[in-house]
Amino acid sequence: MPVTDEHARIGVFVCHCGKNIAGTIDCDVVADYAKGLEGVVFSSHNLYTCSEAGQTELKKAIADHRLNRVVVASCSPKMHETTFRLCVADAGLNPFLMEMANIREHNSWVHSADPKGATRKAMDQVKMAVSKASLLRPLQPIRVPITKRALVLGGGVSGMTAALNIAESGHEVILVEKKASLGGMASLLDKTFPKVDCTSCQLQDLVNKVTSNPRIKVLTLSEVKEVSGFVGNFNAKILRRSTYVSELCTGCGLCLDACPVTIPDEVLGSMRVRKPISLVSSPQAPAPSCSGRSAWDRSTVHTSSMPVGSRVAVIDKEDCTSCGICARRCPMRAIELDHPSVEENHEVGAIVVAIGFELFDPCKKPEYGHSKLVDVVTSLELERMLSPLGPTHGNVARPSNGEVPGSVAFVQCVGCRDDKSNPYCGRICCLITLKQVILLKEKYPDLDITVFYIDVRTGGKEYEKLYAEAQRLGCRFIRGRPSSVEGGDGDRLIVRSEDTLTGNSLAESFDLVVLAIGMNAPEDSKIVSAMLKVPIDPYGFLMEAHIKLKPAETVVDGVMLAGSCSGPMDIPSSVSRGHASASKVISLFSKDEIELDPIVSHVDLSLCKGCLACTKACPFQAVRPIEVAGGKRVEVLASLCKGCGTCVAGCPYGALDQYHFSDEQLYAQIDAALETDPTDKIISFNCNWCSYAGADFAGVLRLQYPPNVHIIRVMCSGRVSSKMILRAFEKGAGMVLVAPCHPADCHYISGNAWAKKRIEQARNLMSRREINPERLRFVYVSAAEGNVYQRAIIEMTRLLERMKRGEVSWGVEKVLQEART
Amino acid sequence: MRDELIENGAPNLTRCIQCGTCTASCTVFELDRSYNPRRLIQVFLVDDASSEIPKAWLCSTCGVCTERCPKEVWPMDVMLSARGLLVRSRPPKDMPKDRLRSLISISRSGFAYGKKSGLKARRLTLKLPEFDLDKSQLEQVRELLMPSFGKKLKRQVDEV
Amino acid sequence: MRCDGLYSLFLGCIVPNLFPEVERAVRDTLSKLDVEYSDARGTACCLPPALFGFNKDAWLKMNLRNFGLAKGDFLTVCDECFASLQDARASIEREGGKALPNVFPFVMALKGVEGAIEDRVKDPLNLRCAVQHSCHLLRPSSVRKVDDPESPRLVKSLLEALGCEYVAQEDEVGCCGGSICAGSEISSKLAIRRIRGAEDARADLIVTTCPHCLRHLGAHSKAMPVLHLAQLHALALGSNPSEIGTKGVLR
Repeated sequence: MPVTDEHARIGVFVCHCGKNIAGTIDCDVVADYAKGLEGVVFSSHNLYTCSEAGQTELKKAIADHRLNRVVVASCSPKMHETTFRLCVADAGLNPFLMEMANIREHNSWVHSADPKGATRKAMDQVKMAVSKASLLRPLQPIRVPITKRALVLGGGVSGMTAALNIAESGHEVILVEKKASLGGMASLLDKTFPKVDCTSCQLQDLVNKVTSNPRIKVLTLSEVKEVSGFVGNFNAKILRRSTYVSELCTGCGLCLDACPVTIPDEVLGSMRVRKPISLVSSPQAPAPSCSGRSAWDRSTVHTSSMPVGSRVAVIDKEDCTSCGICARRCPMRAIELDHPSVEENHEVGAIVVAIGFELFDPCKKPEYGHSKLVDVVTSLELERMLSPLGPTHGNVARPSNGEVPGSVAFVQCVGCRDDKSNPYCGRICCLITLKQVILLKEKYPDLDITVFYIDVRTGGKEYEKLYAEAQRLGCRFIRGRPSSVEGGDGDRLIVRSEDTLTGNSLAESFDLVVLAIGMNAPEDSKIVSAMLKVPIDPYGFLMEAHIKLKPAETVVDGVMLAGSCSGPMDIPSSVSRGHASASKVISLFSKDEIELDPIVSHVDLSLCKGCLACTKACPFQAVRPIEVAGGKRVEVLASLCKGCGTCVAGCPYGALDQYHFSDEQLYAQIDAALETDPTDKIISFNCNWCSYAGADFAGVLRLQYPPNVHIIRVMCSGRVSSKMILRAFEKGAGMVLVAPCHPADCHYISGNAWAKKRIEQARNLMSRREINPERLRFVYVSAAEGNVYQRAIIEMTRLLERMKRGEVSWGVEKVLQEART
Repeated sequence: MRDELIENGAPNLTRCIQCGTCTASCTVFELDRSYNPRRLIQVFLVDDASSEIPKAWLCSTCGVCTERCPKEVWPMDVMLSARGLLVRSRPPKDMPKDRLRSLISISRSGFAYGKKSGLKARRLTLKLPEFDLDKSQLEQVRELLMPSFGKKLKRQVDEV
Repeated sequence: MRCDGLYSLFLGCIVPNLFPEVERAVRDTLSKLDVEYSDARGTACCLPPALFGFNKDAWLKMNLRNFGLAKGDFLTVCDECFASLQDARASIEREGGKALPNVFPFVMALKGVEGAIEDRVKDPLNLRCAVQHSCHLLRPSSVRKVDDPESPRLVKSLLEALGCEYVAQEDEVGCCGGSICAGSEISSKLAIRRIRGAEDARADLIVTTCPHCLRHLGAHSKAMPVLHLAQLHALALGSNPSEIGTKGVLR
């Protein structure tokens, strides 16, 4: 019930916290003082308010004295805010009607040398909390329903793992794959490290599980085109491309033979051509392992290895000339070349992005000759040669003459660790090369193999063994990055390098050169990033919410990441992340509703002029323009709002405000703090995540500083407007400090950048009103920088002393006098 | 040594990971193994380079190393920076004689090369204009150039 | 990029002092193609770091003086001058912010009037040309921005427009050794390698755009002619062979 409808009945509870508070602050005096404050009908002090006994007392007091607001003067709210909220809720009060005064971390622990000053400050802190408490309103958490269906983008290893996990926990999954069949890049591999075991067996198992799971709807040849909504409530528009072949297809392959069009294969480069028609493993009746064909490798040979009933034809219209020969040839009349693509809408509650990676284009390194010299191949092209399902039936042959090479060179770090292409390390290329060396030596024991490297990187379980094995098998390792691969020794290739460990100059000839190319971000990452508002890094990889602690989520609630779309990684890591993203989805779906924090902003349409300044300040698209009868206005989407208050502070008309951190409440705290001896005081605006925690940390470390600073908690420094700062000076504040997060650390992405702008505005206003702009400070404080906060307060207090002594100018005397009277 | 090199025109010196691409592409190393740019850079980075720094004069300045280096070290600039330090030192250390002669020539005529014999007449026949610097222009050039010369070099200029 | 007005001709040290015929060829070519220019009188050596090292103070001051004498964008006939002036300009602008005239090498000036060349060359030269590509013109490509450093096309297309045949070389963009300090065995070996390569490929001559290469290769060649690109252009545009140094040199 709003307190304006009835009198405030505030209860104040001052905690001793054993000796932690009481050792410095006279809690009795503080509790006594509180009794005299407006609205306070009950005040007490006790030993440990958070203990069972303390909480029982609190609840009893609420009942006995019909309290409708509670102030707990104790430790930091970051310690026990939740505890006391639950406590008052238990006693029948709305949990948001409780306010804390931090008289431990921000007082007794940091002012232990000055008990009198600490006690005076504690009284002020209680006064501030009481004035805010009388303005608190009950708030209900925002509850949104959850559609318990997941959308997975990408049918590779990580996507399939995520889909399977989510389905097995009882929820529906829509798995969208751009190509005609599942498997991703892994389906192109012959064997994988570290065990050098066959990929297709394991992969086929996964594909089978996914396609046979009744909860997973597999949409191949499909792409997500548009996504709207928010966590728990997304709407996805999916384009389903036609294969132009109906279910009547028996997989006989006559259409493939008849098709007259050939195109150079884009994935597998120089080695072969393909046709617009391919035969793929039927999603409905997957082929048994080892004969599984992936649409990723549309080879025109080897289709006979697949049992007829398990494969279907698929036509890729991009390269098809629509000549119609295939349709005429088909005995089942299964080909419909004008079959339209279809758009579908799906409602989902969570999205897993698993769009995989692409390989570096070796033509970008012309000195290695991939486009000019046909015997220079990439590691993937070699992999396809090694695979018995590949174009050369598992025989490694020189593309120039089809003969088995006598000597092979591997060039590492092509398109990696290279400022001219990708500066990062490809992570798996060393291992792929070692694996391929082992496979080659198995097939061709007399083959001469040389690896040209900068470093051999084998980070991972069981990986170093591969290096030793390759050495044992007689592979030569030369530490020297080649400068070029050229033709010249007859039909052989010359690799020029320096052996940096001996200082020798090498220009050796080889029959075959393999370029170990790195993993790049997929082209589609830009599209997906724009569509889902997930940021991408400078190399195009999608960004996790936190690179260490939140690898499976993004900054967008409800959108998870899995696999190599977030960076180069091996299969175990992709699979892990598939599991991780699934667990975030399952945990989201474990509730019936999502409860969102109600400390959001809201707009008064009668004051809003539609200038849209607020829409620019919100990085979460929570504030949006709308059209109403009177013209443009804005609306706040509470379910997207994160509660930073940056939009509020930027509204020139005061149309926006924030629940639980309203202008009225913040001003009340400022006024209360500056009621007595304002010119001695520093008002410090600290953001919940960094500087408030930083000041707490100063307390933990018992770093001492003068007690003349009053901290006002905001969720984000972006909440602080120039008007708020000026108000503090109008009320006579000696100095004002705004302490945001360091530039890249803002919990709300850009709030601290806006704070910086507003500080500058404030300084301009101060100069115009002849208030010394030095009285306003802007200091970056992280949660770990207790010492930085301490130093800032000490310095500011020194300046304050000099102003009081007349050594430095205050500014306009008039303002001060007004404040003193 | 390392910091001086960085200061004098090789700001990316410390980015080197010793991959060897520069040496692999080096025009000179191919014919003379004693000039090894990668090794020189390592010496500059971690060692007392004073005995090896004159090797920087062996570079052909073809620039292929810089073109191919994956770390933007600009190896050719490292060599040029080293040369600059040697020229600055008094006396100019180990400077090849032909370069010394060129510097002296510039401070006397403004040009690094002397005239071929019969040039004046030939230019007249070919109807080519005068290109010599006049006295005040030469003064300007000397003022700009000679503060970077050591005492010995200055003496050599005046002698000839 | 093209020069918008008059070029300011920067001759450098070698051409006016050692190769006056090349200077004649350059002037004839420019005027026959209606490329307007004036002489940058009073300029002195551009002190290439490639020759003298980064003697920064002297280098920047000398070139600031040179730029002060420019009456338009510089047009260089020596590629080491081009590189030195381009780098000095970038360095000065980075530190002082003073906008200086641009620098163009001879090949880019020719590229700018490709159409005129086609019109005015009546009889093709029919020569087999091996090219010594200039290191300082091409590299580092991120700065020079003239041509593809691995497969350069500019000189090739200019030669073909003159009716010449471009003879590919084994070490296409390799160095001639001309900027290696004098007395080095290696610089001779590199020059001889280039000349032999041209001989093996039955080229009629070696063409270059830089007087350093010209001087160096010329000094090591007995029979194989070594010419500056300007000399071929001047010949094709009708200049007197005895004035541009091609008389008795080409068959």
